[in-house]
Amino acid sequence: MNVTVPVVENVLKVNDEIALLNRRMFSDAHVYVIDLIGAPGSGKTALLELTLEQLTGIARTGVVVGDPATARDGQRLARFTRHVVQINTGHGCHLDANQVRQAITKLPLSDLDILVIENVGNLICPVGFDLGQHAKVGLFSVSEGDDKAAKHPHLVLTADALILNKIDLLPYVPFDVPRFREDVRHLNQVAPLMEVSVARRQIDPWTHWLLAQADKAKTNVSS
Amino acid sequence: MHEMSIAMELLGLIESRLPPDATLEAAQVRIGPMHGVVAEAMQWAWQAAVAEKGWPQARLLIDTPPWQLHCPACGRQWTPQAMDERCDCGHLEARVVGGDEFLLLSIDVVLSPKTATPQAARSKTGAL
Repeated sequence: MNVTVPVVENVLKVNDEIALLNRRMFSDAHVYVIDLIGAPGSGKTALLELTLEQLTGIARTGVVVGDPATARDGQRLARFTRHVVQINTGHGCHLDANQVRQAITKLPLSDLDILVIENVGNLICPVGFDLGQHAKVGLFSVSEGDDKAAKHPHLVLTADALILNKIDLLPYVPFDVPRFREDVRHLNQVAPLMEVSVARRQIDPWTHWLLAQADKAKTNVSS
Repeated sequence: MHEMSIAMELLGLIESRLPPDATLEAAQVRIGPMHGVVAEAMQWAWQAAVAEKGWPQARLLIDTPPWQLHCPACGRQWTPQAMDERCDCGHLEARVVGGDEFLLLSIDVVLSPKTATPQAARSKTGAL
């Protein structure tokens, strides 16, 4: 006998439920968590290296870093904090909430102020998977071209903050900054767009934003 | 290629809703364009995933609702040809809405002769 069974259920329900548990765990530990999403080569790890260096003595930091293979990024970041967990996803093109849940069991969450989850380099796949983070941060770079925000609307639409990296390369590559800004604003009128150069060690807008968000989160919890 | 992980998530949900001894014939899903799923890649991943489960005949029917734009000035909502379309009223900041659905709508199954009635099957799946 053939029958149609109505279901109408969110396909990513299991991931979302684990993400909710992660978020509760982060909030209980008073640690502010961001999911950093960007293309391969956009400078995610380099940005984090400099961020961790500049926050030394100001905030206690940890990182969960996802890559298909190798522990190279984890090793780079371990020079700046001892709280680093590397996840290798194999063929997986994004992190999911369960992978993050297993990773954070290896971290002393209550001893951290800020935890950054560096997602697998990809502008599409990671966007649909909630990890339990407090904020999603999208990273673009000048060398990728000025059309990437318009071509990846889901990330721009859902990001809490956006970063444009490698602005030191603007004299050398064709990149229309006003056009990029306009594409971002068309999709997301709220998220700050921070223009930085890791190579020139100019990332103040980003570190100030990150610290302010972490402080705000702590204040909201204690009040 | 996140279509394969999505196909596996989808199959996990379907298995939890499948009546005992039933065979899966088809699944209907609605995937909003925000998820960046390529229909051809999704079909390929689905075929690989269902073959492994022993349901090579199972079809995947994908409904992709279009993007919608909403004009905060006049309240108009429409399906645009391009993401950067302006509203007819002249307002420049139309906002993107919708497109983030990812739902399993229904499954078509063949019940084994031993299995109970369709009503029992629905009851087993928790569906209304």
